[in-house]
Amino acid sequence: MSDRTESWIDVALQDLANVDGRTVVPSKVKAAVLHAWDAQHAAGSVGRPERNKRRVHTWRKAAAWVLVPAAAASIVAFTMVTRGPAHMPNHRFSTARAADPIEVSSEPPVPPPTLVELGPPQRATLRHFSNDDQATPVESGYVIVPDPFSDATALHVVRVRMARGALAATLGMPMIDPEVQELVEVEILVGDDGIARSIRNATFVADNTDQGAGR
Amino acid sequence: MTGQREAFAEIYRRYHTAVYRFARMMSGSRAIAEDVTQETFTSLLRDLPRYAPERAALPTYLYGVARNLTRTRLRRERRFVGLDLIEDDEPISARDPSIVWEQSQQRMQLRRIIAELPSRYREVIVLCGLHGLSYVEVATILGTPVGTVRSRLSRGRRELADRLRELENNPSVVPTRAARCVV
Repeated sequence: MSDRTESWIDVALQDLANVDGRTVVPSKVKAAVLHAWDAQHAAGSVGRPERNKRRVHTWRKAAAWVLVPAAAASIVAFTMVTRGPAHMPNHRFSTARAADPIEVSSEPPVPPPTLVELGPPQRATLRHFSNDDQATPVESGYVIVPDPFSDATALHVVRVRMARGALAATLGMPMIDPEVQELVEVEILVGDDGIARSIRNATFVADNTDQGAGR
Repeated sequence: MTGQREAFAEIYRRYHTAVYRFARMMSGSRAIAEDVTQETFTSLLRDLPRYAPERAALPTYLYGVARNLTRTRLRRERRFVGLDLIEDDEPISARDPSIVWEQSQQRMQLRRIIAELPSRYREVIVLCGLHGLSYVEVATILGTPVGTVRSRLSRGRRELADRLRELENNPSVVPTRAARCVV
């Protein structure tokens, strides 16, 4: 590069620098910077030694590591204590709590009630569902389950006969000893959409298939 | 606390124009220059406790922050920024409008050519040639050895001369407003 070109570039750059030196920065930039100063000063963090900042930061981290698991454990424990037993199927048949005082009685212990004994029929309702039914209800009882439906859809009563264990397995009905093989006749309220809304009546029947087969 | 605010305002008053000019020449955008200037002093406000005067003077520190912010901004905007401020800000005076206009046109061409240089050349030309910083200061800002600054400046000026010569020989190759600022 020749000296002439060098000098020309120097002159051109100097001229450009002189013009740029008169550049005016918009006042909004200064206003924004000073506003940032005021905001940070209002937060009280200006001039704080960096060491103190780090110390506070470390303490926050340590507190978070301790408090978060403790809070989570407390929530889980509280949930298990307050809600856990209520969701057990046979909870309503429990006769004693751990905190209850133990009473000593000379009377023979009363066996826990079973679903069959809950409602001895005052008026046994015997229903024949079809002519070809081979099972005849010989022992019956019923439980009325409230109908918690709020929607105004039309409901239909559908009577079905199912295994007793199916009440617990398919309908979520709490039951003692659901493994016992018995038949139950159930009246189910079914909506127009085909979804069962409630169980209205459940009648226990004895399977007399063998008797019917013998006839 | 009022005294601290005044001191900070004084720092801004002293250095904000240099930071703005540098960001403007590096980015080719007035809007980016404004943003970079604001972010530079905001970061100074935030990182003031970490500033070590023995490592770099305050102007050098501010130039370094502005350089990083500008590079980040240009990289974020897909490495290319339209040159919306190539126009000369110099007001046309009444002494001789034709001469002033011609000088203004020459400065615009020079700005465009500088803006088209690779950033490694552009930043040393801007810092050394336009801002008058020493090689040591520029090396501190760029984080490179002084020899690297010298070589980049030499190559940058040579490329600048080549483009100016090409412009003199063939005026039709004058960069238009669509020229891009290469990061």
